[in-house]
Amino acid sequence: MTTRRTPMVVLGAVIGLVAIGSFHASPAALAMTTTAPAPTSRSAPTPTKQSTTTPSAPTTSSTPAAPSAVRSQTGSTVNYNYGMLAVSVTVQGKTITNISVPSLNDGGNSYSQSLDSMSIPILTKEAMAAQSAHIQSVSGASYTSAGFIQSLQSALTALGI
Amino acid sequence: MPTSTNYTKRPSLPGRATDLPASPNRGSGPAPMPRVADWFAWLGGLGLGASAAFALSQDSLHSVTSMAGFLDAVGRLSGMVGTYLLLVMLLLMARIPWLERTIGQDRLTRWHRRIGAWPVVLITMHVVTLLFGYAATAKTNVVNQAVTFIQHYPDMLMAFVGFGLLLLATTFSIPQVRRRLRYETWWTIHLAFYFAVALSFAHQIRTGIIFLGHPMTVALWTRVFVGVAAVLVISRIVRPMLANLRYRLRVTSVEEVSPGVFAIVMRGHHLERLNVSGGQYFQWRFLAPGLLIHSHPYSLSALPNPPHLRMTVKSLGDQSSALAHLRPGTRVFIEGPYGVFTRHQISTPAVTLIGAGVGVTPLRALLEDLPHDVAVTVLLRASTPEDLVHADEVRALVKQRQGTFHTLLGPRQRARLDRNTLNKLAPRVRDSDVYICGPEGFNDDVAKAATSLGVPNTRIHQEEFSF
Repeated sequence: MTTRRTPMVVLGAVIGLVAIGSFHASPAALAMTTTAPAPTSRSAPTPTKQSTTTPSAPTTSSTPAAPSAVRSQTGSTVNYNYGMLAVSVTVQGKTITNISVPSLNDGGNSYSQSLDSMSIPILTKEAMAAQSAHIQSVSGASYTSAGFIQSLQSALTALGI
Repeated sequence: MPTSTNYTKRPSLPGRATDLPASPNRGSGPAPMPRVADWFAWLGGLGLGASAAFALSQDSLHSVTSMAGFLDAVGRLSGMVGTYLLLVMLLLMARIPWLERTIGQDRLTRWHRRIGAWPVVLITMHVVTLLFGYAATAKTNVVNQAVTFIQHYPDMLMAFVGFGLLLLATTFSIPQVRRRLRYETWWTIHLAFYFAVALSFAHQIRTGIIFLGHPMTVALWTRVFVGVAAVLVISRIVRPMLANLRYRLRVTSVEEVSPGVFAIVMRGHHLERLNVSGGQYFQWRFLAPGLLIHSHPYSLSALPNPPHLRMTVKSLGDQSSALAHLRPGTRVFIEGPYGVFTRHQISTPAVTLIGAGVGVTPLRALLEDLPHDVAVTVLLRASTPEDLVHADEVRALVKQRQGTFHTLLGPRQRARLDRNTLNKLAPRVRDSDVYICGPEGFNDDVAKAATSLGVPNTRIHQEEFSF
């Protein structure tokens, strides 16, 4: 009798694993809520403090897609569960020249802050190297990573890259 | 030295409240429900697989290639599965009526013990891997990381306390350690498991990556916890309380029926609603000094005879010797009935009941409850004729059914119920269901003898009285 129900338990476990596993496989990315779609538009971008290459504010807006024009764009603000962040990107033509995080609110949680200060430079470096948002997340900081990638991607999409 | 009895003497039944014969409207409690037990098995398996799948759903192949990512994934998986198994262990001991009457508490306990070590191993793994994984990411040492967890993560202090309780309670449940403890000590420490599980819940849903931002998963997992808690409270507290408010049992007499063996007769209300099969037992709690805090399992030694109930115990430990000195009027709380040592196990037209010493008690009640068309053979073993418990009642019941009754008297070494003796005293044993109740060694010997005579395991039913 003891052994009679063992197959039921084992088979049940396999079914449960497969069912939930396949259900979850597609939306495996973190469920991010984009709370504030970036107010920045192509016509009126917010100049970021690190945008050293920005000669003047109207440059970005009025440039009619000159091949080597310098443009800046801040991505959407993403709620990454431990706080909010937005990524800003500066491009020259199609080349990413600068990435920064002008808006970061980690809720005053010091561990979250230390994790962010550790992971954001890594993510920035990776994105610069990859010249895209297709980068790996930093392990242990998967939320920050996912938020960073999502905001960066929205900025790049807005810039048409 | 087997001695046959040929019913020359008219059986003198003890003139207590539990007089024979059995009336047809008592006994025969609800039958086992194997289907329901099957569903529980399926559900248990599904939950296990689902817990693992939820834990793994946050990992992609590349996230586990780094050491820290791998440790995080292992930590999540072990935490989820370990917690799930703890919940299963609680449910196995929750006295769920369908499981109790189908699988029986001894086998549920065996499963509980078999799972036993896994939760603590997995949850320790969870703690260790996440400490190392997060420490590696934050480039700090494990101690700093533990401090960080407690200081900055929500509800982590509770979780660490819960983990401490889990380790403590598990240590005292290791068989080698437990053997040195008094039952009461072990029982009290065992309660820590409930606190450990409860304390761990908040950190799961507030820091677990599979729960953050997934309100559906949080709702589901919360329901699982609340469900388990509800089952435990209802079945271990509310139902017994309601039952005892209804039955309101009190001791009416305690009588020494054999040397050191006491029959305790109680009186109560509405006992006709006590849905008990012969051979089942209750957890008894007497409101008397030294007996109040813990309940102990004893079989009924007769079917209820409203308004009376009888159980028979041998004074073995502190507990059962205290029972000998119970005063009439003492209140009694019961939980149950439990046990699958009943007529519902019968699959043949004949039964052989074999008991040793005080092990006769469930057989005595079972005998009263057997279907009328079943052929009965009863073998009782004891050292001396005085040690035969309720032998007169058994003899009378067997005679009523025109069955066969034998006693086997003498020291354990000489009067053994081995293969040959069994074959001689119960020639029909191979075609019958065999019910055995005695001390562990006795049960093993008789079961072995029955097996060697060709009785399949599914027809050997055992109950041990030395719990």
